[in-house]
Amino acid sequence: MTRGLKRSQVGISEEMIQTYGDAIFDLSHNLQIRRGDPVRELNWEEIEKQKENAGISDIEIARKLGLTHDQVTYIRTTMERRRFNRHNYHRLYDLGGGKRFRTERYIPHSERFTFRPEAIALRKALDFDPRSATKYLKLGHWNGDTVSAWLDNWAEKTPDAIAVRGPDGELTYAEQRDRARRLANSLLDIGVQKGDVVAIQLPNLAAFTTAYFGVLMMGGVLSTMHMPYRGGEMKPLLDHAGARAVICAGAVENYDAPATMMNLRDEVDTLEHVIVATGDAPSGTLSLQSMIDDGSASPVENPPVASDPAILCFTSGTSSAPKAVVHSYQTMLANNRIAAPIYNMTQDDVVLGGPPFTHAFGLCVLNFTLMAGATSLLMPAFSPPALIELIESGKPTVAFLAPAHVAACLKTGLLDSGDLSSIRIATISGSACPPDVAYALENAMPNGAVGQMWGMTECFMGLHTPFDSPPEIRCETLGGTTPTFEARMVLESGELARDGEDGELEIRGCSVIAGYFNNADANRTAFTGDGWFKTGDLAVRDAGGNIRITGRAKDLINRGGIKINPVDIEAVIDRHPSVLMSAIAPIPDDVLGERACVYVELQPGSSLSLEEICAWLDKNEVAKMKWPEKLKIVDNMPLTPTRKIIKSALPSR
Amino acid sequence: MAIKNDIDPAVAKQTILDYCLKKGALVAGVADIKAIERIAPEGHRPSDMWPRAKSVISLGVGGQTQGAWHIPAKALGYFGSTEVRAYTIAYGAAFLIENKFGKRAIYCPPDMDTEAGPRVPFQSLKLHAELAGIGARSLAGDILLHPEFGYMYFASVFTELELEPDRPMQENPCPTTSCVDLFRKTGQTPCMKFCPVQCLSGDIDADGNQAEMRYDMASCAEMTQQFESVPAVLADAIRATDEEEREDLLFDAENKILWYKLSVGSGGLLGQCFECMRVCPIANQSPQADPIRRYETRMAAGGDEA
Repeated sequence: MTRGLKRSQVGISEEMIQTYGDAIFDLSHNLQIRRGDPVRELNWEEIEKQKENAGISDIEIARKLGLTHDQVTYIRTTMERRRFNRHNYHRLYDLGGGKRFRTERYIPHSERFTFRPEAIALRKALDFDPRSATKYLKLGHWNGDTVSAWLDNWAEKTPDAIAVRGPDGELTYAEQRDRARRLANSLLDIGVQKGDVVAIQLPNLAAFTTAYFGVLMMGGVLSTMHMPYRGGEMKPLLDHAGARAVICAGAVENYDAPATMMNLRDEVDTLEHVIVATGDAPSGTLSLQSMIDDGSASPVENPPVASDPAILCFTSGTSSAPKAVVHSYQTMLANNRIAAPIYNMTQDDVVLGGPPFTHAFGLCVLNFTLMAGATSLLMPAFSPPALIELIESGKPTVAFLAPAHVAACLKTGLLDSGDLSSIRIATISGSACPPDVAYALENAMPNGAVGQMWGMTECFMGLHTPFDSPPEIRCETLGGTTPTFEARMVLESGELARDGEDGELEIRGCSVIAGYFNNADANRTAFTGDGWFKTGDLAVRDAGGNIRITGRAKDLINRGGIKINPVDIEAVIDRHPSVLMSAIAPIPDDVLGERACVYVELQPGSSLSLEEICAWLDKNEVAKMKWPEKLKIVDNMPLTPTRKIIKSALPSR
Repeated sequence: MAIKNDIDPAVAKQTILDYCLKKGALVAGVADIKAIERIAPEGHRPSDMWPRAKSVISLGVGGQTQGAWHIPAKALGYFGSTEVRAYTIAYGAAFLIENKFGKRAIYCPPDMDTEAGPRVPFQSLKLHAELAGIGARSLAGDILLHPEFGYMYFASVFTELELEPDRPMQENPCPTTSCVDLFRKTGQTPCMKFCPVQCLSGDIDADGNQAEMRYDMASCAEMTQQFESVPAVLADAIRATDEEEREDLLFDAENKILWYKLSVGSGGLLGQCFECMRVCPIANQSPQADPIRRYETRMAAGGDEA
């Protein structure tokens, strides 16, 4: 429209715009060319000659092209509008303050700041109750901390301090940050974007830590795959996570991880890249080391912030509806900050993490170590001799172990013979710990104290024993709630359990996730809607406020209406000299509904009958009604990465 | 209106230029109106605006402070407001001419020609300044530069007072030696190299003088003329396929700045059209509403001309 006249009044068709548009645009001021300096020199011949190059007015163009003045103005302004790229203005946002435009480096904002639909969907898992979120933010439980910021902090303050010590090398904090930055930039270079999920299946190696920091540094979400998993188990998890890349170890004798991952790449729609962290990277994969070597050492342009998703862990099974836990930096790191005073860790500490980094417990330990600027002492694979040798050679001052780690060392006699004098505190967690195992570790550490911690992937650490509490508290209970957390025991009726009464443990706090990612059914059963998470663990609180886990709600055996909790019985059976480990689980019964079956993995060269087990239980004053009625000997007990028995995977269940 | 006929053009010119410098202009001069008439495109000559104009006075004020050049570009974009200082002085000079010499004068509006759209000014203040000898065209899209004062903002005054015109500058400070050196190495001067939309290109001859200046003004406008975004945003919002996209377009922080500029932040954009005042017998016909009458009144009372 020009001077209020419509296109039809000016006598314009779209065809006219197409026909004359470019010519008018070029003749106008929109493109100006000057040769020499004729105006300043008052060189009239040149001025006249160059007039059209300098841009002539609409009326002059009209005369030249045989159009009306209005038609030219209409077409010119239409062309100006159509050609105008308003998003070019965004280029200014990167300039000034010492920064200059560089054509060769410029990438449009629209390309630099993109989330894939999968990444946006993942964020929907961070759907917190606004009242809780506001509370956590106001109280400072949630703040702006990120893992990258913590790494930056130590890389600046103590660049030469050892960040990680493992069989594949030692890295200072400065080296760790440099390698992580290079990896982060390489990941961006190959097209991994902020918010993308990068899966990882690696043992506790320095390479894992670099991958962890690198992926998080570029805003990726790290999804851990447990080491025993193979293609069949991983496919639904990678599908569920929408993983864009996977980092794995090189091929070894019993497992060709790169080949497995490449097959998965063909099967999982989103999976594009296979990155091999150790050994040779076969054709079709990328070498983690090469990515580190080739990556830019510059800080990542658009790093993650605290509210971004950081990790995605799967809590159970490999079913069609996995329980995927997404933690933001806020929920993940709040737990470390809040629990830090319990451990009183400093830069001088050397921290041995028994649990694998593919488990939330392992990542929790890694974050604790990072927060303190301490050294991570890595144990890629557990065996009692490997653990004791690592303690003796690496001299950790802080240890995080699972009950099974300690129990295995105890059974082999290595706990008593090993030198554990460097350890000042040892935390047991991962599953319910029999008191005798905890006392044994306490006694094996001449300079150390045992503590217990209870946590789940969904909330990290929720219960703990203070290290200054008496041994009976630290070895026989889980203590009280972690600061800022709340815990309650709920009866089947929905009423709150009283002290001394078993109930399902529910927990609420700033590290509890909002819900599982893309699993509405699980969310309905596990979350109350007002911040409480139903843990599925049975627990009892004593008069002193100390909590003890008594079992799993789903593990209770309903024998003709009588509920049998197998935990205490298993603890007694585990002490039998012929038993390496045991588990009691229900088997169907036509009359009683369920009966108890005990599964036993024997000590090498031992044998055992049901009668002998019952005699053992009788001797240890276990009521007859709780005795198992069937025995099954297993060669290898199915274990979680934290060496917790997977009852659902017991044979013939 | 009483017209004074005994004005010494040289004295008048000096008085006017002195006034401009005293009020804060760094430079001032008189452009040859005949040259402007020959060079300016039709419709944008002084005679197209005011046929009675006989002289064009041009003045320049300092641009950004040194500190300003070091701030983020998005904020620097607001520093064009120093041009208001130039306009104020020009406005004052126009009043001075009418008040002191009894000759009509207009502060030349720096604004855009409403009939031609937002890329076409009524007049080229740049051409006025160049011909007045207070700036020379640079390779940076013909932005005028001064060897002493660098980058300036300009304003013009038209008057029916006849003044002796000045000559354009003898030398062009653009390009400097360092710019020539960079051009020899890379084919670009700094202004070309660092332009965010690469709207500048050109050539330098063997003597280090400008051989060619190419300016893609349409691309430049994408960085400087955000008002073009207003209708574009609205059009996109109308076409948006879903509510979320529409809301993002309308309520995005950057786009909301556009609405802000259209309302409280607009400055003169929402100024009156002045037609009511132009036809109002009180507004411009009151005895002392007219500065020339004010001059006559003061003279009749035996006042000083100063």
